Amino acid sequence: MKQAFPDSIPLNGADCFLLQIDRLMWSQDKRRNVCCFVAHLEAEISLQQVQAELDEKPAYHWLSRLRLNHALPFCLPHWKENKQARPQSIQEHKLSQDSIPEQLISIDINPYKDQSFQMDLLQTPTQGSILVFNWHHVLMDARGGENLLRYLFDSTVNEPEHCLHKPPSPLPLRERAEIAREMKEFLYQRACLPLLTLQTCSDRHSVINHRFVRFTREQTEQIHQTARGQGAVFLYSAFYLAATARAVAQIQQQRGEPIEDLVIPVPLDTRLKGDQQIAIGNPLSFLFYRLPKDTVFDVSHSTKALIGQMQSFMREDRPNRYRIMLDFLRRIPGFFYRAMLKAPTQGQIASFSFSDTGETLDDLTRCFNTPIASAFHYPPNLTPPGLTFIFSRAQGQLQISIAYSEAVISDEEMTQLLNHLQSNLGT
Amino acid sequence: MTTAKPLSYQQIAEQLCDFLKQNILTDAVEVTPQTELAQIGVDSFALMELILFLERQFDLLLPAESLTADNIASVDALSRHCLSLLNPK
Repeated sequence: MKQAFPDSIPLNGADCFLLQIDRLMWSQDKRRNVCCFVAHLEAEISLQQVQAELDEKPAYHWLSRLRLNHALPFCLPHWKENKQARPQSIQEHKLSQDSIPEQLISIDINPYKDQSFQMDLLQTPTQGSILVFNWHHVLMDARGGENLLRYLFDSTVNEPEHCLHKPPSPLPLRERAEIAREMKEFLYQRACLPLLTLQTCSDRHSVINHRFVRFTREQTEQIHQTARGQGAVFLYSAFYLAATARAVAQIQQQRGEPIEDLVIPVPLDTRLKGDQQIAIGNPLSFLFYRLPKDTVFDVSHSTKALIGQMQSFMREDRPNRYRIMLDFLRRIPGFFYRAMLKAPTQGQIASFSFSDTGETLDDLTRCFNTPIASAFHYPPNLTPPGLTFIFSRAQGQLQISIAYSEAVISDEEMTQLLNHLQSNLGT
Repeated sequence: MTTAKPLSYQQIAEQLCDFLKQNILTDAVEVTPQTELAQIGVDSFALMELILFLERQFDLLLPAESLTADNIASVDALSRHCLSLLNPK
């Protein structure tokens, strides 16, 4: 029988990519690539209840013992179980108001040294409890975090049979090398300068702020009706992206800066549908969109252009080929990998970061038999480009969470950007 | 002279279910022509894969405006829609 909890797990290609992004963020901004998920519960739960539940879960103890190993050049980085490590205790915080303190959603985790995730329980004065779950992005993606929480706090979820994603079937080395070379050329051509960026200076240690918007069901339906009218068919994600790109370009226009093409890499979850097992790693690929500057102010044209690019990526099997390239790059020494990442855009990486987690939050409705009133992801503070949008839908309601660096956009401009975005979405 | 036999609803539905089982869904998920695709986690990207498969497999172009919520709700609905495009009255 296969061991459910191995003591060593190599990183996959997307994990290594996210690790290099973490290193770039650390060198530029002294921040880590950390994901954050927040669930507001309708009733109060006690710390003892949370701790007792976690103590019963073998996978929780195993995860808490994993540390990232420094890999030698040309060796695969991997998670290693540290048998001596003990789970970090959950911290409880009594809030005097219902908002979450910023320091709990902008934490740093060093996966080489620390437990790769952290949980905090917040007791609000009026609105039940809030569970804040932070984890290093190399450990898992947003969907992985949701699956882990479901396993930890939903008694109907069984123990996992395995904790690893099934790797894609390996191709011969020469074929992989050829795919990697071809994909690198494609990406360099896709990301060539100039590209639109809101970043005006390279301030180190700039403050990261968050905004959150939640639409009603009626507004969400209205947005989707607008999306269909703009040619999105059922691909609402393309419409969200087009509306976001226009809002960003509108801010650039207000500044009197030239409008350039937008480069936006969008993560793609490659899990088979119906897979809710907890598993280490990021089973991700990316779709690399380049939105031409002459279409960006027309949401309908942009939506159709994005759908056209998506279809052509899929016909050419690019998501799978990109994954092969990422896997192929795993043994490249870190400094060389990071230089390659920065080279085509001279360090800008992208116009902004964007992801749509879809309707996965619909599967997460209860925690300790208590209904979840609302749940959402705070974006990892990806710097560069220092501006991240996450779209998700829960119980029929569209929600957007945004992280932005003050070096990229001011609070006042962000308010304007949100007004543009809501107007572009048709609300 | 022989002419190609027109595709039946059954053939299209079977091929769609096979494609879903082999490429989109985990082994644990059951799919029949009547299963609602959204209920088994088929998201918009997976749906696009399904549509591109149909276009490849049956040399068919599915016009964007015809992909209404009703026409893409299940394998049954999608198969009927394909059939109507392949064998127009």
